[in-house]
Amino acid sequence: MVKKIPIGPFHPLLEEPEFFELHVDGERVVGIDITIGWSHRGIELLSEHKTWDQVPFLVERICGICSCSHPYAYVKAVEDLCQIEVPLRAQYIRCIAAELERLHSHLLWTGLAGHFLGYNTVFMWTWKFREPVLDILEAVTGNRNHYAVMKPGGVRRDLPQEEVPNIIKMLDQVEKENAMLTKAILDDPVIHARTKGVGIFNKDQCRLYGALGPTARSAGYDVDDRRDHPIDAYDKVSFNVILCEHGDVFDKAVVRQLENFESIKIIRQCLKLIEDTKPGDICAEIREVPPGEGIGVYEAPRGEVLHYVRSNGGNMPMRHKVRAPSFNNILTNELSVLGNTIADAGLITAAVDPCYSCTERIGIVDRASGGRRVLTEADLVRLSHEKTEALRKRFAEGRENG
Amino acid sequence: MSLGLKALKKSPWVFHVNTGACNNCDIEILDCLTPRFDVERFGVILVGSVRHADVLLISGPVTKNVLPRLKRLYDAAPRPIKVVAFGACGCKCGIFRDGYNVVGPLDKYIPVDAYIPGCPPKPETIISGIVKVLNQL
Amino acid sequence: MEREEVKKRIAERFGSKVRIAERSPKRVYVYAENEIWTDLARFLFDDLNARFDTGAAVDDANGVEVMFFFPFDREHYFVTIKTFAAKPNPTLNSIAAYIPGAKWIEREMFEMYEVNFLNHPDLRPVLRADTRPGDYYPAKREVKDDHETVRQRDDGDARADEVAGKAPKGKNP
Repeated sequence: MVKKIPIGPFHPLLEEPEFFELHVDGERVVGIDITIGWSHRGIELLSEHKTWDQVPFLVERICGICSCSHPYAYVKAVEDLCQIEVPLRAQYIRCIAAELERLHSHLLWTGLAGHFLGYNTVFMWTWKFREPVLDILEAVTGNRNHYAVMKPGGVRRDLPQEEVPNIIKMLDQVEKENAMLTKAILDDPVIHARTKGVGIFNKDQCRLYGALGPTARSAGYDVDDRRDHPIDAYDKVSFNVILCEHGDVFDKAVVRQLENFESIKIIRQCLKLIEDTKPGDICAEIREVPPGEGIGVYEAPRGEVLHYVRSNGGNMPMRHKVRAPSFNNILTNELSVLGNTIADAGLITAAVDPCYSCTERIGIVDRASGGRRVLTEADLVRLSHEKTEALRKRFAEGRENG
Repeated sequence: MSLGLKALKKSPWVFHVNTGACNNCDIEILDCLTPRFDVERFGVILVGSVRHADVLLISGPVTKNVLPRLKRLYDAAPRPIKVVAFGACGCKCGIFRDGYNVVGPLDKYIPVDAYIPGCPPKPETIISGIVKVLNQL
Repeated sequence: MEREEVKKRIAERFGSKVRIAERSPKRVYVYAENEIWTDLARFLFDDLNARFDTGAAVDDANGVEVMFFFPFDREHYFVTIKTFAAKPNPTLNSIAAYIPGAKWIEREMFEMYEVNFLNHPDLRPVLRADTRPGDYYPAKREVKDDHETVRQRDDGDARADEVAGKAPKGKNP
């Protein structure tokens, strides 16, 4: 018989509200029903009442973790509409801010996944390694999280030259720490047992669902807008696109860890290239926005962000469409949770790195008996920790017995 | 002060609720637990269930979808409880004030004891705010 | 597939039923009527191997213009299919049965603009599921213009009073 289990809207692992209703048969998941929209604030309509320069401040606050992605895609859409070129120095500054954000976002996800699996040390360490990145962002842009760097036509602040040696020192340190973290996480047999083969979403499904970002690349579906629709400085630097083949949670973690190295590489190249540009030349002036439409895409840490703007010649957008990558990625949970256990369902829904704000607990509805059993957040995390402990014991005994 | 209050003041247990925020405030709260700022040395821990909470830390402009659940959570919280409105959205809806799905700041629905402004508030501000709440006890 | 080649094949296959416009080297827009837009979408997705991205809708007093984005990644450009649904009761065919990724974006366009997608497996609101009253479409031109958005600065003195002195209403027990 099939029971229904609601998860949400405040889920323990994700900080953003979503609501999943799992249909389970015994311990296995046989279906899922996803409800989103707890954070729906009507941003597209608010955009229509803000001028072209004020909109980046609004779209920054769509999501706090990828707070550089939405303004970046928006200003690219406006520049696509106006068909203007951005000065070279501004391109490099944008690229540096964006890649620093990718670094901190991937480290954040690794920490949360570690916490859910029961590795609280991983959580504490990755968030500690994240702090120097946030310090650099504060020194360069003025704030740890909502940077307000983007402006249609360029950037708002110049890169202070005296910060560059600090950035390089921080990059060296983070690279060493990331290497240590990658080795520690990816060689652990219990993590292998918990995440390999769990939540598989293969390449053909990715194509049909329009999956994006590390979710797609972990399955071998090769989509990376930094290479495919290069904007600004991305066609002047060289980097690798990380692809895996299985599409399970383990591969999603691998893709994110290895992308950190690529981000560090890109920032180093940008810092070298920016020395040849003239300081102060950071914005191309846009006198007016003509009627028309523009599409701006940017590869955020979670996937491709797409902004579409339409103008009728006024000083405010007539229509501003925002599509975050999690809109496509969360739908992929429809297929990837099937066949897994309840303890893993939380991990799978978090592996796509959803950006819709969440928290809360699970309720189990037992349709057959008509009773209702409620699992709190503590229970869900405890279920996951218990599974990890059991696996650890099994491996330890295996080692003792030879 | 009574034994109950003494115990309460030593280590407040915080339950965090997100009523539709952009998630940045939530990241800064979690950041406070990490080794650099480490509020656990003050005894503050984040609990997984509202039934164990002494302080409700609520961020986000309240959206229509979340409102009934927020009210249920507040009713389910054990007394005595302190409510802290967190971030610019928690205090006054922030930049989302005119959205059609945003039904207004938190203090329209539940009484609030402390406000921590900022977008997002820096971890130093958060610690200062929590200490002020503790002194109110 | 190169841009010129794609334009040629679309023109061959659909002839005068579509209009192709090129706004810039990286943006191609194809205007199609409701009868054939799903065929055009499937042609781009299956035969020409484009990637399905997402959709958007813009409305005015006459109707709703719905567009879907199909990027060609290897060649670095976007092809956008645009179709139009006239008011009242805008209705369009749905591609969600062929491309599952379109399920949620079509639901969102239904919820915001009242565009009815025929043959959609599950057409109901996606973003405001359980609090939406009967037939309230917030982004429709008619509804949107009624929604009050106050563009004014807070009066300094009033705000200072709010912040400085007044106790919260009611107290926590």
